[in-house]
Amino acid sequence: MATVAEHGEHHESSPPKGWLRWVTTTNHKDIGTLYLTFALIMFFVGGAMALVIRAELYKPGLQLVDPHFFNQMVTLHALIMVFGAVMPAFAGFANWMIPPMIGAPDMALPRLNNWSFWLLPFAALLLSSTLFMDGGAVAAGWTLYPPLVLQTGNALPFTIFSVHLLGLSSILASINIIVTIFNLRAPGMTMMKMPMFCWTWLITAFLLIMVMPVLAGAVTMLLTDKYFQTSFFNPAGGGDPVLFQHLFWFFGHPEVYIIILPAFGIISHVIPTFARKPLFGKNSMVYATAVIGFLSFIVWSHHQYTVGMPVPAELYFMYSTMLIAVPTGVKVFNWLATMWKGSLTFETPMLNALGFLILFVIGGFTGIMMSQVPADLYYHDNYFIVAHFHYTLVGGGVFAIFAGIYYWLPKWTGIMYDERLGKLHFWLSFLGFNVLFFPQHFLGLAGMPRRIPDYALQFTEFNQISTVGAFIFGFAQLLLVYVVYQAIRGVGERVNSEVWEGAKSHGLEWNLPSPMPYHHSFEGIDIQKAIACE
Amino acid sequence: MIVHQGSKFEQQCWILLPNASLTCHQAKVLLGAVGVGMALISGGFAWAGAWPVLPFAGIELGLLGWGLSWSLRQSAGREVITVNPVAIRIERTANRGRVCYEFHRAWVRIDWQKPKTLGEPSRLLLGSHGRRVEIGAFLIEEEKAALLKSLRQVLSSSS
Ligand SMILES: [Cu+2]
Repeated sequence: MATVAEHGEHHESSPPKGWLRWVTTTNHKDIGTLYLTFALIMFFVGGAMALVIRAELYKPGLQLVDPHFFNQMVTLHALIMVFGAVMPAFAGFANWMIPPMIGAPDMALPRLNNWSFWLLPFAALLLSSTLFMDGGAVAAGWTLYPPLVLQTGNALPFTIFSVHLLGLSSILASINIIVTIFNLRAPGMTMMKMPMFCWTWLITAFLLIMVMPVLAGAVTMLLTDKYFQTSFFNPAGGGDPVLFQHLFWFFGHPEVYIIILPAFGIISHVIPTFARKPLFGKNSMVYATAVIGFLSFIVWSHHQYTVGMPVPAELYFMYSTMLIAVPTGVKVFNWLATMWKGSLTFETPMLNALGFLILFVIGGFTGIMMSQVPADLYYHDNYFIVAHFHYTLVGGGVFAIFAGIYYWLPKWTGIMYDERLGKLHFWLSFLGFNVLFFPQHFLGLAGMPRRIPDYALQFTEFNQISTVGAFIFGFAQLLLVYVVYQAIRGVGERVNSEVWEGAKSHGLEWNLPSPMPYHHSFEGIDIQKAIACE
Repeated sequence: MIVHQGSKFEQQCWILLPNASLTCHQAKVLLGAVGVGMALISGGFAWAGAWPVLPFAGIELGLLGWGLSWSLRQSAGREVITVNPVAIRIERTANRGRVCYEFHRAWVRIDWQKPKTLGEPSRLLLGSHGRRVEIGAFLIEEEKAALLKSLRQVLSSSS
């Protein structure tokens, strides 16, 4: 049919094909896919760096890399995993699932959505390119503490710029999520009816927009201190390096909740589905999430016990930190109560959710240990800390990502992934992870310091075990890629809209056809309100 | 199910509305609350000497305000489709103003255009003689399907 391209009329131009489609897309599903793909690539880049670290630590003494490069690996591994892998992965889930969960046709700000994704690859490329600059990449650790970080060579301004870009990307994504959830809910979808995943992401988005200006300000001050003769953090000019630590951790502590809250959201969908029971205490889950979000703003100095603080301040941060165990305990209790007397089955998403539960609880307990000021004076800066935060961020965050991928992949692709390989991937990951990080608790308690490429002879065996675990965990992820790739290619059994037995009662997305149509539909919304007549 | 009114002078009409769960007042309260939070945080740090946090907080608040107002303006749009014995009329009200299309009822065609590539939305196109207008672009798939059914029913009945 001929087309008339009058103003405001329908243009029958076909959408861009090939790679251009991905560059120009404003469709939330495409952008979700982009986020998840990018996260997967970065997961391998950051993972390769982790394997360099573990390979060097296989034996005492220096074998593979020089200490300066080792520290660059430690720093970039952290920055890439946090900003490049885990956060974008959750943003991918948000893009895919929030609109159908609230009955919206797309995200509220589709073009901004495109931009917030496309900032990421450039930021990541810039950050990685600093490895080849004069003086190497930043080697002061992801916390970027001055004055050490100011000794970085040419890489410093580029690193700071890429942190700005990564921060901007998360801010734009958060604004989009906030506006979408507040304005684009379908009639009848009240806030308290909203699924847990939307709730956890909403609170995460608020945390992000509250703390990102602090990080942006802090790194900008590093830049001006180095190049424009200011002295925010330089005592010689009346500044204070500890101020940077306050700024950084005011961002850094909420950041760990930014990573873990969406994980809680995913788990709150997976466990009820495979227990065939509704989520126990849904409202208390919402309140607990909000309380965790609030508490995350008032505990930051528990990362600075050894810096020197007045005793009352240390006591305050110790008690407020211990308080976090209460809402977190509510959540764990609710998940357990959801499973109680449920008809449980253990498909891959459920296995990963249970893996999450076990590992995250271990990480939570070591967290309570570290919240104690007198104990932390000993734990500080040793491998106990490394073990702790990997149990929360990998055991918690990454295993929840696995659970979410296996849970929703059939919905996205219309194809059931290879369950046998999925289970194998879980068991190898779970085993590899524990072999990798559990011994690090003992290494830390025995006094092995973190961020050092060499160690005393008595730590050898446990480091070797840890390195073996690292390679198992790392290479197991190739299985994940294979399983996902096969499902995307369409190899496997077709699934119906429900996918998981009884899933229809656990979320509106399970009423949609699989694969999910573009611009969704779902039942249960009062269409009369959307299409009414006067 | 779609309800539409058919008795008024043999005229039937549908009003299509995008999702709009936020009122302007609520948006202001939200922005104000975020603003107070940010002012407390960045003000506190500025007091401690780290004033560069302030401009970043300000820019971010501005972005949030822009996002909210843009989305509110999008949600304020609407499409009114009226069918009388001779013509079908589409009135689209958006923030840019009001546009109106009219087609002869006997000639009008409604098409459900399925996505050509995965990643494109399905479209509901209405028109005749090569002039076509997309209707209900802001609706979800199921609402579009319901609208299509309802429109076809009315149009196929002889007038
Ligand atoms: Cu903390």
